[in-house]
Parts: sequence; structure tokens; C-alpha cells
Amino acid sequence: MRQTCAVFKALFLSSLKSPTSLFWSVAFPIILLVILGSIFLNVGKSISVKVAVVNESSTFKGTNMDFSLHILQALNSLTEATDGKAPLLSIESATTQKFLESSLKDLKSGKIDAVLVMPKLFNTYLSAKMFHFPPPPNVQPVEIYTRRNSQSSNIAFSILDSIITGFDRELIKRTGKVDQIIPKIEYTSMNKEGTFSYLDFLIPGIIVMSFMTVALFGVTDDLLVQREKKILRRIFVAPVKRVHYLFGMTLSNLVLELLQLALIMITGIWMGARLNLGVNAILYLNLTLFTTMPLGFFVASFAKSANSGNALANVFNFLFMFLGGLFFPINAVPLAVKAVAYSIPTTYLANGLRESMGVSPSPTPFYLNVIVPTIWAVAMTLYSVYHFKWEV
Amino acid sequence: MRFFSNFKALSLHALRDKMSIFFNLLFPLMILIIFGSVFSGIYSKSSMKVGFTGPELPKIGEVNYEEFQNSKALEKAILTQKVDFGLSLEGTLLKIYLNPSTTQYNDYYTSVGKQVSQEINKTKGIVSMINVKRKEVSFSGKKLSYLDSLIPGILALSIFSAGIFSMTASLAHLRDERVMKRLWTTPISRWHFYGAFILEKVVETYVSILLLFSVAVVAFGIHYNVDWFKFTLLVISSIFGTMGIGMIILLFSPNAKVSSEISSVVYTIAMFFAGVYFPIKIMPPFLQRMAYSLPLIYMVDAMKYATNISPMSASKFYFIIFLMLGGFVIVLAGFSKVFKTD
Repeated sequence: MRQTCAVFKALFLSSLKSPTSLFWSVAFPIILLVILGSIFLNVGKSISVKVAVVNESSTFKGTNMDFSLHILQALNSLTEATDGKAPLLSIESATTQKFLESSLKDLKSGKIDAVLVMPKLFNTYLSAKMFHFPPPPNVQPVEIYTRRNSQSSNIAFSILDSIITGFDRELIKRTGKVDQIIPKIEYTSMNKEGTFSYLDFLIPGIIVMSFMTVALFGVTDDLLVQREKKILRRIFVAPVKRVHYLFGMTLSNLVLELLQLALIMITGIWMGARLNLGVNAILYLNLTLFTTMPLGFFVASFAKSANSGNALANVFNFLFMFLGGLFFPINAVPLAVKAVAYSIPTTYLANGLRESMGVSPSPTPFYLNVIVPTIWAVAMTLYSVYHFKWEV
Repeated sequence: MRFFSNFKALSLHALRDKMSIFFNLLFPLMILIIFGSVFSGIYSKSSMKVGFTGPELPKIGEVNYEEFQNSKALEKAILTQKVDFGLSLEGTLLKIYLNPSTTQYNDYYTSVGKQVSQEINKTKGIVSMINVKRKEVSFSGKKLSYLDSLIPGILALSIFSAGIFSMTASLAHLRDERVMKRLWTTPISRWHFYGAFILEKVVETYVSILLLFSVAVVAFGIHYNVDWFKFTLLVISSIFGTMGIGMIILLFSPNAKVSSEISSVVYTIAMFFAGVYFPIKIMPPFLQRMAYSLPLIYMVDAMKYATNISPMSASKFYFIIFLMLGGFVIVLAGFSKVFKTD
């Protein structure tokens, strides 16, 4: 026991004195949480998009039938800042073909995010429709130009489309058709308050990632470097057995992981996450710790040197992190990627932890969330016991 | 002659250095293949599973419906990712149920839900009075996928990583192993060695970038109208520029381990703010300011310009080149005076 404590104290102090170890094990998960949380909670909220409106419609000017003007006014109401936030839209508008050409050029070059074109005879066309007169032939639809694969362009389109659709619904209602179907967005949630957000989804993923990172890099860095520099050999000359060393190292990683967990939870709750740390969650966190702990020893068993161990740890870290659905759901990935994703333990750990923390029901059955990580843990431990070389 | 002997020796050393090959070529290749596979279908889903409750809904092109008994069962199916999203017709409301964690797809799902509501309205004889037509444009005029704009970013990230680590790992390692100290006892001039080292790293990185690019083209069928002059100029100047950053890190690091670790931290933070995986515009303003204060985002933008997928003024492009090369020269001048090989 005394030897285990001595190893634990030495390794833990060494981790605390190492700025890089502290960065990766403590600061990095928090930074990642803040960055991803800020980005995806911010989507569409404090974003400001630039739009050009080309109003070619020239009929019914100065009358109640100037629908293009009403749309423009509705859009202009979104150009004012509210609650100290940046305005949702900034608009430039004109009526000429030349303005359309320069706006399309600006759209392609990323200077603006969308171009709305209200066609000639737009007001005449709508007036005719409202009063059931035959509309003028060959009237172009309203066109919204966006830039392909641009998130800000997509947001600009959503804003313009929702304004025009709202206007369209109002016009239909005024024609006496009151049973039109109106779409309404509802967000699903596991909790009764209906407050499930991306942040709630992210935090269990970050917890799994941080446990995995400590286990992977903590062990490969300490164990392999000490082996390479013959420090292990010298330690074992003293009355310290391998088992003392292993327990000491495991304990040191465990304390670091608990510290991480506390920091992640505090930061998450500060950012507005709603998490449940009940008995089920605590039990599943233990399983997560138990499963990720042998990962470092497993990788170290393959490595002949500290450098190759580091490279292997990077590969495992990358695969387990991005294919395990820790940050984003993996239901939309291609089948081949999905096959890999469902064979690694982090996928099940993230699913199980989300369910046990009351965030989201698991896409995989609970028994698999326990069995698959346990099989990994046992297999990795057995492999490490038989194949890890204490001396090179 | 000594310069080329040095160059040859360092090239052979690089070819035999498994770690260097791993981190310069295999690791970026792995990133490319994984992200390429994961993102190749994004924003262009060929089919989607949509759960629904209540009356049957009209069929829309890419939608496969699955019926659920009630909205609770439907919500559970959405949260467990059994269906992509859900629809429920209740009176005159068509509820579009979305999973908050699929934030990157939700806009698309919403637009599909709206199409369904329009189809239902059509069957009731209610037709939109205002027809909206979306037209997509791109700088190159081609139909670009998300992957098309991702790959130049991954290339720029690889250059950034190779440039920094060439100094903080390779050169620092040669210093730690006292190889340089031993070399100075021979008639080799320091500038012959440093010149050969830098040239070897430039060639090594350029070749690895070309290989990565080729894999992207072959594996994902991507075709760019590359301006090879600008591409080469950008790759070379970026390697120099990022080597400059590596030199600064090296000056503050006592050994190769510390310098590599600092580089890893710098690379990881820069990666999030490069606009490669997450568009800068959707970030909160304080993160946007941070992103624009780092060099990587300019490298990524210039790479997209050189591959002709996004615009940039020629003057801005050449200014970035000038900054990379100028920055390198200034850092090199200071580095040569301050850097100690002991």
C-alpha cells in the first residue's frame, strides 16, 4: 500500500508539474466544450447575414397592393438590433438589373449571403390571385439566390423564406381558405421540461473523450518514456513491485479523471446544460472509467518505443473520438464508417452515458452499452498482461 | 556540393524516419479519409427516414416514411436516431420534430417538412400564391459538395502541421541528439546545413501534400481547376511561414519534447479556428475575432482560392504569400542569432 501511494504521489505530482499534461487532460476538454458549445448553440442566434433585395416590381406603387414593399418592410424590421445583439439582417435594395448583376457577383465572392429578386408584375400577379382574376402570363417566381455549401447562405435563405412564407399564408387566409396546413418546428427532449439541447448531448461525449485521453496519453507517455529511459528498471530495483506501480499509475489517472469530470460538469452547468448525475449515471461513469483505463496499457503493448506509442495513441484517439459519435450523432455517416463506429467502445460508452445522465435515450440497447465496452476492457487487459514488455 | 550532400543525407534520414512519415503523410491521410467518408454525404442525403404519426403524408422524393403509434413513440425514435426526424399532422398544424443534437442537418429537415406541408395543401386545393425558387451559385460555377470545400482546408492544416513540426520535432531532435554539435566540428558551414534542412522539409511537405491531394481526387472523385502556379507558390510560402512559427516555439523550448507538445497545443487550437470544420461566421463574435487573429484561416482561404473554389482578390493572395515569406525571413534572421545548438 505504501509503495502504491508513493508511486501515485510521484506520478500525480509529475502530471501536475507538467504544463502539457495539464493542458491535454484538464484544459483541452474544457476548451473543446466551450468552443463546440458556443458554435452550435450560437447557430442562427446571434448570426448576422447580408442580403441584397432586387425589387423589379413596378406596378401598384403607393397603394395597399404594393406587396413587394410590404415584404421589404418586413425584412427591414429585422435590420434593427434588439437586446444588445447584432441585427439579424443587413439589407441593400435597388430595382435595377445592374444591381442584380453586381449583387450576384458579391454573393459568389462571399461579400453577401443571399439575393432576393421580386419579379416584374409581382404586385399585379398577387392582386389578380387575391381577387380571383386571371393572373398575367409568364410571371417569374420570387427567386432567392444562395451560395452553395455556405452555412451563412443557408441561414439567410431560411430567414427570407420564412418571411415570404408567412406573408403567403396571410394572403391565402385573406382569400377565405382557413384550413391550410402550417408547419411548426418542435424539438424533441427526453426530460419533462423539454429543455434538451446540443450542449446536453455534447457533455457526455466530452467526458468520455477526456477519460480516454488521460488513459491513452497518460499511460503511453509515462510508461513508455520511463521504460525507454530505463527508469522502470531502476524503480523495480527498489522494493516496488509491478503491481504497486500499476495501481499507483491507475490511481493517479483516476484522480486526474475525477478532477476533469468535476470541471466539465461545472463548466457545462455554467453554460446552461441540464444533466442528471444520479445513481445510474455514477454507475455508468464507473463503467466508462473501467473501460477506458486499460486503453493506454493496450496501446503501450504494441509499441516498441515512446515515439511509436505516441503515434499509436494518436491513431486510437482520433478514431475513437471522431467515429464514436462523441460530438455529433453518427446515424448519417456511410455504412462502412458506421460499421467501424459500431465496433468501437466509445460509441456505446457515449450512448450509455447520455441515457444514464437523462440526456437522450440510447440508439443502442442498454445491454450492448454494457457488454461491448466490458469485452473491450477485458480483452485489452488480457492482451496487455501477456504482451506488454517491462524492459526493452 | 556540401549543400547537396547535406540535402541527400537529410532526405534519406526523413525517408527512414517512420515517425516523420507517419505524422507528415499517414496521419493527414487518415484524417482525410475519415472526414472524407463522414462528410461526403452531408447536405446531399440521397434518402432519409422520416417517422410520422396521424394521417398518412404525401410522398416526397427522398423520404421513406415509418409510422408510429403516438408522438411519444415518435420522439423516442428521433432521439434514438432510428429516424432522421418526425412529422405529425394535428389539425392544421404539421409538427416537424427535430433532434437538437443533429444541429447540422436540422435546416435541411425543416425544408423537407415544409415541402410536405405544401404537398398536403396542394391536395386540398390550396396553392401558394407566392412561388419561391431557390437558385444556388458558386464561385467556380460548378456544383460543389461540402467535401469539395473541406479538402483544401485539410491540405492547409497538413501544411501548417508539417511546417511547425519540422522545426519543433525534427530540428529540435537533431539538437537534442547532439547531431548538430558534431556536425559543427566538420568543415560543414551552418548555412549549408540549415539551407539543406529547410529545402528537404519543403520538398518533403510538398510531395506529401501532392500525395494527399491525389488520394482525395482518386478516393472521392473530386476535380478542381487548380491554378498550379498559385498552388505551388502558396504551399511553399506556407511551409516557410509555418516553419517560422515553429522556430519561435523552438526558441522558447528547452528540448524536443516540450517544443513538440507546445506545437500540438498550438495546432489543436488553430485547427478549430481555421474555418475548415466549422464556418467562422456561425461562431460567436469573440471566437470570430480569435480566428481572424491566427494565420491558419488565411492559409485555408488562399488554398481555396488556388484550387478555384472560392474567391479572393489577387492582391490579397499575394499579400498572404508576402507575409508568409517576409515573416519567415525576419524570424530566420533572429533565429540564426539566438538559436543555440548546445
